[in-house]
Amino acid sequence: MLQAISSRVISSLLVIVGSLTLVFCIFYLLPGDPVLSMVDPTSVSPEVIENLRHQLGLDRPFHERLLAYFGDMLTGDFGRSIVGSEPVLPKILAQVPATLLLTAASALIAVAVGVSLGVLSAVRKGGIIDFVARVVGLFGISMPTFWSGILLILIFSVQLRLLPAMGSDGFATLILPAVALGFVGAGSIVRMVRGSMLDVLNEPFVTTLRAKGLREGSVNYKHALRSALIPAVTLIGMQIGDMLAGTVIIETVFSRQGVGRILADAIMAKDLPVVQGIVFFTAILYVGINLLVDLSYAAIDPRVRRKGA
Amino acid sequence: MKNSAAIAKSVAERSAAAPRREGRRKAGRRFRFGAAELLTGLAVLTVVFLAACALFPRLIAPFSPTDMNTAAILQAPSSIHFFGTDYFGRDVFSLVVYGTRDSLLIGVSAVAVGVLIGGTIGALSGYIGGRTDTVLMRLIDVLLTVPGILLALAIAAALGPGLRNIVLAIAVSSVPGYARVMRGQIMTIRKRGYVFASRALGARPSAVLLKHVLPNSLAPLLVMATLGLGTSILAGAGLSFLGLGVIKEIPDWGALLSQGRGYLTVAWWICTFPGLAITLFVLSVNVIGDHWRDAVDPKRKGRG
Amino acid sequence: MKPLLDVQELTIDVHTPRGTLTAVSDISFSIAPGETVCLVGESGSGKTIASKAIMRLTDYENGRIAGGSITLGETALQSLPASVMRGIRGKRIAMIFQEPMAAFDPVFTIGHQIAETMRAHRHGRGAKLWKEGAELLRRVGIPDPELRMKQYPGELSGGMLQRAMIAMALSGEPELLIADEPTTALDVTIQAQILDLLNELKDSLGMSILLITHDLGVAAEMADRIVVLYAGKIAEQGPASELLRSPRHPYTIGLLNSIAALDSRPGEPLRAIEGSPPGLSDMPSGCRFHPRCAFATDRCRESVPPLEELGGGRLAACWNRGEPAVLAAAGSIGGRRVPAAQAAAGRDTPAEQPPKPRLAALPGAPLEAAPALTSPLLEARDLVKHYPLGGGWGRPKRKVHAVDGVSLSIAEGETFGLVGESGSGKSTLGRLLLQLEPQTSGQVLYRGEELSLKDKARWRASRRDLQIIHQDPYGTVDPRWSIGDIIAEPLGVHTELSPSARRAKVGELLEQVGLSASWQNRYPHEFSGGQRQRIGIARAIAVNPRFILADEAVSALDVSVQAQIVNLLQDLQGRLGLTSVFIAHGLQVVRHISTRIGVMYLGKLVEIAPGEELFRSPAHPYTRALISSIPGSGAGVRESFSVRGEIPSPTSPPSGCRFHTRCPLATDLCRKQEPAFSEIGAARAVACHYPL
Repeated sequence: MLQAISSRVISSLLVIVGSLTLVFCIFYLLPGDPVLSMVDPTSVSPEVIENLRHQLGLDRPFHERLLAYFGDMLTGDFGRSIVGSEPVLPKILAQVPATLLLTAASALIAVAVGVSLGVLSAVRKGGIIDFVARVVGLFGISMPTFWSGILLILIFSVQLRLLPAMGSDGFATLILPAVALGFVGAGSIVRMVRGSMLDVLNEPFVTTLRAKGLREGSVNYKHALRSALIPAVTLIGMQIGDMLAGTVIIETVFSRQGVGRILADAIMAKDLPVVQGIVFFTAILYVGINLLVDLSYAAIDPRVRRKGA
Repeated sequence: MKNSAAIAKSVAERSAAAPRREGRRKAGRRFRFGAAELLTGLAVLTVVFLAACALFPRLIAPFSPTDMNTAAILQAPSSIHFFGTDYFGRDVFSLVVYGTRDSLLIGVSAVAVGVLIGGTIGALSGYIGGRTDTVLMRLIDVLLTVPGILLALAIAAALGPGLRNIVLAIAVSSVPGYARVMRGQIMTIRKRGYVFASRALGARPSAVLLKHVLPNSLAPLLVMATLGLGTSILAGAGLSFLGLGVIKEIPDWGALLSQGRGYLTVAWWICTFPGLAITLFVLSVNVIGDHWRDAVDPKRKGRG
Repeated sequence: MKPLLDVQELTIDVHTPRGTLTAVSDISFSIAPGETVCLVGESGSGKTIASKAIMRLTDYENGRIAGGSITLGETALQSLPASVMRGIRGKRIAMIFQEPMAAFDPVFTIGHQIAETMRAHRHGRGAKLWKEGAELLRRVGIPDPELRMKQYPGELSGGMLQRAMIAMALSGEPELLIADEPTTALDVTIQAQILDLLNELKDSLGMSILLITHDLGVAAEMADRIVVLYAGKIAEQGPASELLRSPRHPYTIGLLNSIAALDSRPGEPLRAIEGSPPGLSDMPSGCRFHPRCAFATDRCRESVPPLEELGGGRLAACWNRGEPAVLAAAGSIGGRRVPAAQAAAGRDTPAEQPPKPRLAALPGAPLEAAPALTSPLLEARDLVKHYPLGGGWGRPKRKVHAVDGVSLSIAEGETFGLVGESGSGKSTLGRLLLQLEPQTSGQVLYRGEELSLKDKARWRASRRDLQIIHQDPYGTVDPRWSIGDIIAEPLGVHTELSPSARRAKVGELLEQVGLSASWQNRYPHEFSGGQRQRIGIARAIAVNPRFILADEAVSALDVSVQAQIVNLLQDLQGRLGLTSVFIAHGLQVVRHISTRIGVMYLGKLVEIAPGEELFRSPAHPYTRALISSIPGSGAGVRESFSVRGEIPSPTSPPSGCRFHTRCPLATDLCRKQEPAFSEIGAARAVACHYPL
């Protein structure tokens, strides 16, 4: 067990190194010149540009730059914002709680709706719940969050005046964005859980369970559900990661404070150090979420526990 | 992107486990809420109509999308302006029709590029195996460390706005999914009895690859590409919405929606209809993809 | 005596995407307390769905009891509410299944699943139930029951799991145990153990057993009465011994004939039934067996024969059962050809001696003599194949000893049979002989010259001479190719024939294997299992090979179809002058077709002998155990020579003689020193310190 955990942690660290390199490659190797995106070449002299290059270390060889970059990142030096020229890291960290709260709320909705609807629809295949589940599944993966968010605002804020359309103070402002974001995840999870559950219900061991005289409740919710969740858990992890990334759009739509919002602003302002910092930061969170998901396997699938021992 | 890797996994597993009845599928499948065929038929019609909008917007749109009618600003939907007008007095219906081209173009080209790159990487990785496989798959794993939409966003931000850059960004972020499906598929097919049989009777490895392995590996990739088209369109619209899109006279759906957001309280229609267009298209593509996947995978037959 | 279970005119419909089909029509049978009844049938006979219907498990699987009654004691099961039915399942009727590996929930422990079954039917403290569960495991012969209770299904072998499944079934103290092909997925020596266990439990617990099987041998060994199903209807039923000795239905006659009996004459064609069982959606009119029946008349085609009482508890559904030709065919079986019948008969009248083989009585059979040992065509020298296993993260690297030092030579013109249970390495050895994978060490010689994967050009050229027929006739053809293209593939690789010449050749080949030349443009899924294997054979002989490896070529086929394919292979072998290696786990088939037989155990060749001699006087204890494990060879024989336990894992084979852990005759010497593979007479060799 301990060995399984430690090997997962080690591989997660490797993955973080990988994503670090990826972020570096995206921002320093792609043809777009970061200097040119910082300043307008028509209004600045070539010397200034050269100077800026040197300041950013862009004239050094690749491996030196990569190493320096690694060093910076690991010491928490994400550079300074071009727009406000404040350090990037504190700027990001200040926004993290709001974004995590939104992600967690959305994930809660997505998992609760997705898993329960998926399981019920498989158990009562062809019934009304199954119909609802399939509608949720299809619309969930087909509706853009910025549109479902806007529809929610139109209905609940503009028309019904029940909930605030924007802001990030208090529980009430959390509801609409969490629903909009959670709905996407719920769509994917419903589809996955339903399919997985139907697969398991076709397994021969389900016939054995019935032949033993077990109640349908026990067959479905004790035995089949457990096996069905095993493949679903991976997807749930990825969905939570996608919801984390989806806050970029949702925070913009609902004018909420958060990492996503400053990312959107940074993109508009071409503030690359901030973009880069946030991408890297999100990657770490994403890896962390997936690590938790992997560890949760042990809780669902006892064979994993046994193997580690 | 969004759930590409998961689809990848399920498609690969499904087709790996596919029992042998390929070919004998009749379209007699029923499900309880009306026929699946009806739904798929509607989806096909929708896709065909939107494709027509993309190709021949002039024939379908009643107004020019650049036509600013100052006498009709922010008008609600009516029999003249089906989807109302925007702040400049432009006809929203015509804007949506003209916006189809760029929206679909982004989606289709991103999928094409993604499938081509991902499929090739996956095929090489799966077929050559060994160290090549390890290296390629580690690269893919690295791409997967950043959520798809964020990866696309980062790439698009680094490259700067523009149609080509958006396509590239979305394509790259969808590569891991396609590569994994293709690799899994190739590895599964390689172990199939008929590949062993062909090798055993003396066929050259290249012939085995071209005549047996590749043709039998493609179906799940194409199914995934169909479902991926929806995801790519959503991603493209999302990037546009965030302002990374094409800055042109005729906005695509995402940009249109973004522009309409400012008038939400006074003109709900500007946002609502482009979003509806996106949703309808993606929904249709997903319905078609689901249907096709069920047809390719006999295990899912009758599942509805 | 009042029956325990009485099934009357049971009809079951199944809902499929293509509409409602009738899987079982109008079947009636009963089981008395303490009786074993076997439902025997091939694929599509409806035997499994009938057994599930008794448990009303069909309710959950698109099935519907469309008519008839199922009565257990006084209770009519077909109309019970689901909640009451649940109280009967696992309590009064228990069931065990074909694939023990798939029949347990993989994520709960064995103990949990047994205790859960008990809890479904009575109250009891957890600790007490757990203890009872362990006791049940001990009862069914599982060592270390306390440990096994805590293990997950994936940690136990198939044989062990089937025992655990039986223990779980016993936990409700059922009156009736339904066993659906309980040993089909197991090796023969394990099958023998499980069948013995079932018989012993039945006697000591006084329960009834409904055994579903495709294997008449198993039925003969277990059954008091046999019900033969064909295409969803009962063809015939009656007391086991009489039914096997003098079958009344041409289908039963054909089935018994199809079994390559222990005393059938090698080389002689088996009397096969033509064609293959019909699918649910294309049931023939009249008597459902008529398209395959040699005695069919117009009446058979037009009207359905009723199941008629024949006296003595026997029933048969055949218009022609009184015809002299049918009686003659039935008489020719006469308990002679079928080990099954001998076994059953032997149990009724223990004094009766099994009849002697009547070799001389059969005219026109080819000579028995093994072919003069000319120069070897294929030779294996000390072949070793180890597959590396996992390792890493500080765990030791292990390897599977698939083939561990096998030397062998196959003479031109001979048919060499290779037998062994799973894990014996027989298929790996076959692939090494053809050099379809590289060996770890050792050599393969073809016509005296080394054949190696490394010499690409020679290897490819040699494929023209060395061909293979695969076990899975569907999986080994590309589903996207027409059968014409499939059969022409080797022609394309090895010849320069023009497309039209190729088509002509393919047509010829199709007819040679008993298919129609006009079927070239059809696809594999349009064919039945037997036909697909014919396609595989046509492909193998397309380029006139010298040697054919038949790797479990008939194992996946229905019994009645196996005989056709064996006949086809024998016929082609004679006509084309082929040399072949025939790999199988079914001993009778190997014996029938082979001139010499090699027996493998855990990667080693333990015995080689001419086919007849091997069966008459096996020299290795393992060979003897295998032969006495053949179901229907009689419980008496087996008790005198049973093997214990399971096949050890090929990752860590036992020291000394690898069989010593299971051998009833093993001594210290066997544990310590590996016996040499040495000759014990003409063309015989054995690896045993104490040959029998």
